[in-house]
Amino acid sequence: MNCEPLKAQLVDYLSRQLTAAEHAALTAHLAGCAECREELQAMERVWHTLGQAPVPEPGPQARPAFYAMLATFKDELETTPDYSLQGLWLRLRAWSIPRPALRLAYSLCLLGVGVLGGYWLNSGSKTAAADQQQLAALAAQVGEMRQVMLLSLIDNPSATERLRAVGYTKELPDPNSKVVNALLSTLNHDDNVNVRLATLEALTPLAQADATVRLGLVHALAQQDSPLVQAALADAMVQLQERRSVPPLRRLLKQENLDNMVKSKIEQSIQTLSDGPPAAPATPQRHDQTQFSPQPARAALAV
Amino acid sequence: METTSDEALMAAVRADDLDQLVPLFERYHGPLFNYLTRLTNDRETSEDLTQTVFERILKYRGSYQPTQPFKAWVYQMARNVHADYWQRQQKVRAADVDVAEVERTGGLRGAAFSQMRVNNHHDDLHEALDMLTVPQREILVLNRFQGFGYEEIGKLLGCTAEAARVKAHRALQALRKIYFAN
Repeated sequence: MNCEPLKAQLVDYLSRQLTAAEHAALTAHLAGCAECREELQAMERVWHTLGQAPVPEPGPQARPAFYAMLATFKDELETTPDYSLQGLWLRLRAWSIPRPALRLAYSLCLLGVGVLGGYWLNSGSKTAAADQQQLAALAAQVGEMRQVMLLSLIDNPSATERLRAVGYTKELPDPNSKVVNALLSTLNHDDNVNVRLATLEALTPLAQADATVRLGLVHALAQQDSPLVQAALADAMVQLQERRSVPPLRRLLKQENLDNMVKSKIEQSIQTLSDGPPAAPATPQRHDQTQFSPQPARAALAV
Repeated sequence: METTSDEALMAAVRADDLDQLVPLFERYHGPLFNYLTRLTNDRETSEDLTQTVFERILKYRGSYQPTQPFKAWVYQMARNVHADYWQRQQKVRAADVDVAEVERTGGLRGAAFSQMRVNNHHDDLHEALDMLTVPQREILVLNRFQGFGYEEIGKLLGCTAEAARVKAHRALQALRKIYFAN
């Protein structure tokens, strides 16, 4: 008979970990197998010897050593700063500060807050003014940058970029003579009709206040060959009530290849300019012109 | 205090209530010392190692999961402490060839230096235990002295309960052979 699987159960037999059925089977086997009985006896001796071995007890110094270590850990835990609000508050509470000192500290704090507040209120207006100045300086800088960008973009080979550059003039608060010259030269020499139209559109509002621009527009009449720009210029002249544009307009009429539409448009413009607008009386118109009179004189000299 | 479970106490320790370790120390330092003494066969070392176990419990209290049985956790820790000690010891032995020579040839002579030998009878038993491999000795100690069931031993050693049972049986047979050969 194969005893090996039963031998494996001997340990459990000794430690009483067998089930009732296993126990019965093993006892039955042991009754008939001398070899296994011998094995069990030997195992039993070892098992009991092991059981009789004295249980080692920890020495008396184990407990004090443990408490000492525990105390060290507790100290560490307490000294480790607790950065939570509650921990801070507890540590503040734990401080034993004499009452007068505490009151003194409070009053000093209040005084400090008052002084700081007063100082801040006083200096507030100054800083606001300084802020305004800074803002103005910044705005001026931005304007300058726009001008520089415009001047560099207006020579760009791409028509889109040139259109963009012309568009920038609308955002400039008061374009200087450099910008105006650049725009006028674009109006006269740009290859692209769209760019020229956009330039004219940008120049017209400037012409209201600047005589140089008016004069430039009058001179531009002779340079244009595109019917669209010619018509737009004629419109602008009417809008500006610029009488000086009548001779160049007449000269334009004499051109042979002039578009019929443009022709009638120019004739109409000359008519309007010579008669003055029907709604406005003649004298205020004169008055209107004299209002700008110092500027055209100067502008004419400059041109 | 007596009725509070190990796990509840350890959970409190984990939450920085370090005083709750005291009842756990009272419950476990005897068995742990016992376990380590039977593994190392050296009282002084075992006292140090037991202290180290409790130190590690405090140090790594944050790693304790309240769902796991404290007993298994603490014995796992004791096993690791012993394994570390064993490795250090191996290095020392490798450095000192003479000592290693003595250990290998005259096992019984070491008895003269051991404080815990009470009489010859037990001397022999401990010599025999010493000659087992560490895993064999450990499983016998856990089974016979620490009252661990096979299920618990399996969990601790990372094997099935059945494997733990077979290992325990083989360890006892090995011990028997050594013991009766002397």
